[in-house]
Amino acid sequence: MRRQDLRKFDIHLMISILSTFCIGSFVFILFWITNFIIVKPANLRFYLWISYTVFFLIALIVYLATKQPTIVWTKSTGIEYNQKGKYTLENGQSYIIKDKKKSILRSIYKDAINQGKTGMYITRTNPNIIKKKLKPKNTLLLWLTEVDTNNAINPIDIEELAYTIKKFLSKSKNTIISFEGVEYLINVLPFRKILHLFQDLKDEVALNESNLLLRFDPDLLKKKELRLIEKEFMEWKDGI
Amino acid sequence: MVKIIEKKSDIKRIPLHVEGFDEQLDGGIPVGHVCLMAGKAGTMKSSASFNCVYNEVLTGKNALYLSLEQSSTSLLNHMIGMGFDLSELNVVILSDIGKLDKCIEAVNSNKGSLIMSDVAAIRKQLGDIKSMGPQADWLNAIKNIVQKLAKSNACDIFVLDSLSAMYALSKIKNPRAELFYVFEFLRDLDITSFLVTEMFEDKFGEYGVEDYLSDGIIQFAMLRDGRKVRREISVIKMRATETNNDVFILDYKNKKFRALTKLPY
Repeated sequence: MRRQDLRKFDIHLMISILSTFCIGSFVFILFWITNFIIVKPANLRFYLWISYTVFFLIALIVYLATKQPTIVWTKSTGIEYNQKGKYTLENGQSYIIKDKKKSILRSIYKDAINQGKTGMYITRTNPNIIKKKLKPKNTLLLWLTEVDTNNAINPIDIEELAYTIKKFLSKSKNTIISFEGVEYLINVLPFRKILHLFQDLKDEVALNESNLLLRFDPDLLKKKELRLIEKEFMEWKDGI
Repeated sequence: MVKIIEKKSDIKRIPLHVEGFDEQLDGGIPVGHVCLMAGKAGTMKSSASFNCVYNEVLTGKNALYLSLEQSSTSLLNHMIGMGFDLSELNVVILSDIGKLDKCIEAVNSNKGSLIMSDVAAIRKQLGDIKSMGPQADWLNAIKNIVQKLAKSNACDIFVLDSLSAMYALSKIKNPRAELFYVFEFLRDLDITSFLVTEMFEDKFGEYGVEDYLSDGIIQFAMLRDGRKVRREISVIKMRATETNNDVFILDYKNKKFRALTKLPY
């Protein structure tokens, strides 16, 4: 059984407990009425409780054998709520965020950093603006641009980008990498190359128990491109 | 003289000091190998060779860099321009072969020395003007320099830049046989040799036999990708080494060479 905040019991477990109680009572009383079991009225309560216990244990064993009880509060996305932060990202998981704006990605990223993760933020936005908006701590900010400046990566140098990200991952585990320049890369390079990069990074992130967040506007991708990305990555859906 | 080793880990290696590439070579080139650094013009063969030598000299080894294509001074200036800090090395410029003994003294008295020599130094050894040109014994002159330095323990690594220039200076009548003896000569000296060579289409040397005779081949290439020009590096062959023969992007940034994994497509 996974340790989680108990917000909702598994309905099956509740039904099992109630039905055991009802069935147990019914069977015992039936047997007592029909004299299948001889119990003195004075001892009736005692034997009734024993029968409840026995029936409950049998029901629990059958229930555990047939269904894995998981008391969880999870969406299919794998994003869970945590008392410490707004979001908890599943370690080793990579997500796509289909969003026209960048606010959701930034919100998740900032929350992860506030929970103590080290991060890499890859962006097309002027890094000075990112610094003002995110105030990113423990963050390596990379600007996707053809301008030759500090902490900038030319999108054509996709191998350099891959190398920089992998080097970052090799330095520590449980990090977060946010990518908000997917459309820009697609504009500059063949899609297959970019997909291969993301697939490669997804595997590296999985091994490193980190997280990769890719944000893009789905309207800017071709249908086939979108489907290929969706096949590879888990979609973030309304986790707030 | 090559000895039989007991196990693989007994093989000593010289790394190329290209981040991400030495791992593809089991850690580096086996000591004593004769290795071709092959590629077309502008692919950074000389720079990569110098980079290896520079970093090995920093660890205490002695190296001879013989440049037949440009003067020692010009080459050193080029490397300084690339960011190599020569003040960290003991650089000995051998401008006159007649002063080889003094050069050896200078090397042995300091740990880790880089000896730079060029065609002008050899020309002086060969004597008067009548001795210059294909008739002159350039090959033997080069062999004499290397042999004397190696036997005086003043040379652990030798770089000949380039084999193509040596062919231009010397007339080789029987390439297969003569080059075979040159390669064997270098192996017998127990030094690690890097022979920079120009590629001719698919051939790793002018005579098409250099690849068979060498112990290893590192290939450098240049690729046009749209308006972007990339350099590439790969191991074609390396004896006594488990290699990854993939092609890597060769990148020079912040005074370091790196081999980046090439993404497909």
